[in-house]
Amino acid sequence: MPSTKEIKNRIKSVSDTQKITNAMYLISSTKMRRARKEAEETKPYFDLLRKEIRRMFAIEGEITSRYYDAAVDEAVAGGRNGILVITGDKGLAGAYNQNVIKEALTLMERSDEYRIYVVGDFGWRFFRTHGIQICEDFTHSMNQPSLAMARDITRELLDDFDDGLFDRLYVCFTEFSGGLSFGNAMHDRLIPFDRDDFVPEGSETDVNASTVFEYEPDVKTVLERIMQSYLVGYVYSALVNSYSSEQSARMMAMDSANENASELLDQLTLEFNHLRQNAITQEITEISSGARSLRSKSGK
Amino acid sequence: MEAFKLHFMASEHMVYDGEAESVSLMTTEGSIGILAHHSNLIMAVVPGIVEYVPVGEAAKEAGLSGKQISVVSDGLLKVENNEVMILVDTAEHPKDIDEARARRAEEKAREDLKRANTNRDVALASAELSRAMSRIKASRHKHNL
Repeated sequence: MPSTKEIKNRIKSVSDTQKITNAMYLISSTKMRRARKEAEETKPYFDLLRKEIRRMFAIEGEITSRYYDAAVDEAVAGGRNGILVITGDKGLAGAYNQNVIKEALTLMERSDEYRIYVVGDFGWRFFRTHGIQICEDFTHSMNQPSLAMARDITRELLDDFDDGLFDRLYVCFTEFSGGLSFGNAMHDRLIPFDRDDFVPEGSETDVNASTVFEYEPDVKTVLERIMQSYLVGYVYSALVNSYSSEQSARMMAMDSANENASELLDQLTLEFNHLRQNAITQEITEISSGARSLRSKSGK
Repeated sequence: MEAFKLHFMASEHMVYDGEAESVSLMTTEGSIGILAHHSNLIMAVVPGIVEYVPVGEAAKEAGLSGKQISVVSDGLLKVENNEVMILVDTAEHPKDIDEARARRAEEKAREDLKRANTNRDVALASAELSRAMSRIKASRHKHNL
């Protein structure tokens, strides 16, 4: 049976921990809101860019390029793959990091040869401690996703792609599903990307293919130049999605930690009161029996 | 002079959205000037200076008069039915440019260019150099305004 002092200490340490988890919860929710707000501001730009790319594909269906010439069958994926893994900087976010790393590991098994690019300190440490070869000079922390960061990442990846270090580029990230929930860890092919993504679906009429444009010097050149901007937008949205999922996963983890702490505190307080009551009862019994024995002595 | 609609947008903010009399900018094919009723056109924009003359309500609201200058990076230019759209990664106003810093960047880019061995190094350094030079040029405009 622990003493009242021990329980008191325990209560103090639990409530201190609860203060921390509570603060982490609040911090995560602010961080998430800010990241989403910044992402919202860039949305119109990338939507327009996407629309223009779709228009070019709609007009000139036959153009091919190594960036988007897309006849790659997912089922027989093998070959030399570049894998961009987006993890968080810190743990304490439920299964968030594990899920995306698992996704990357499955993708690695399917590749004959791979190069791994890791964003976020957690993933970096994971691959290091498990002795998996990663690109050492590719260091990006997952502090706060920004367009500048997405631009740097895209440039480094495209440089390596242009140098022929890999034939295909995948990105493993966590899709944000809104609210308090874990996102889905998933992978997507970035280069060469699926041209079908841009083929207008039947109902989409925002691209008026009947307007004739002059392309200077030609569609392919224009397309390849703005492709990079588009890739930046894609990487940025993957970063923001992952970041939001991380914060939301952390909010969830901290929320349940808070609840556990409250429960634990209730139990401990109950135990503490029991002990205190026992002690008091015992004291009273001792005093009253002492008094009785005194009285019976004096009565004699 | 006749005016046309101009939508000038950088990835993180809208630069100008309203009527304009003329636009000139750098593309892969060299410098190009656009007035009202230009034929439909799509081109890639390269890093350089965009000059435009805003007019009408939107210009008044934003407090702009006369020729405006913006330093831009890669992007896309579209002219469609007398509407001009410029989409660029980044756009900076000359007043946000630190000339001393741009000069240092220029010097560094020249050094890098001298030492560059691979094609990629040359491409990187010359891109950096052209960026620095257009920033310097734009910040000189600022003094003349």
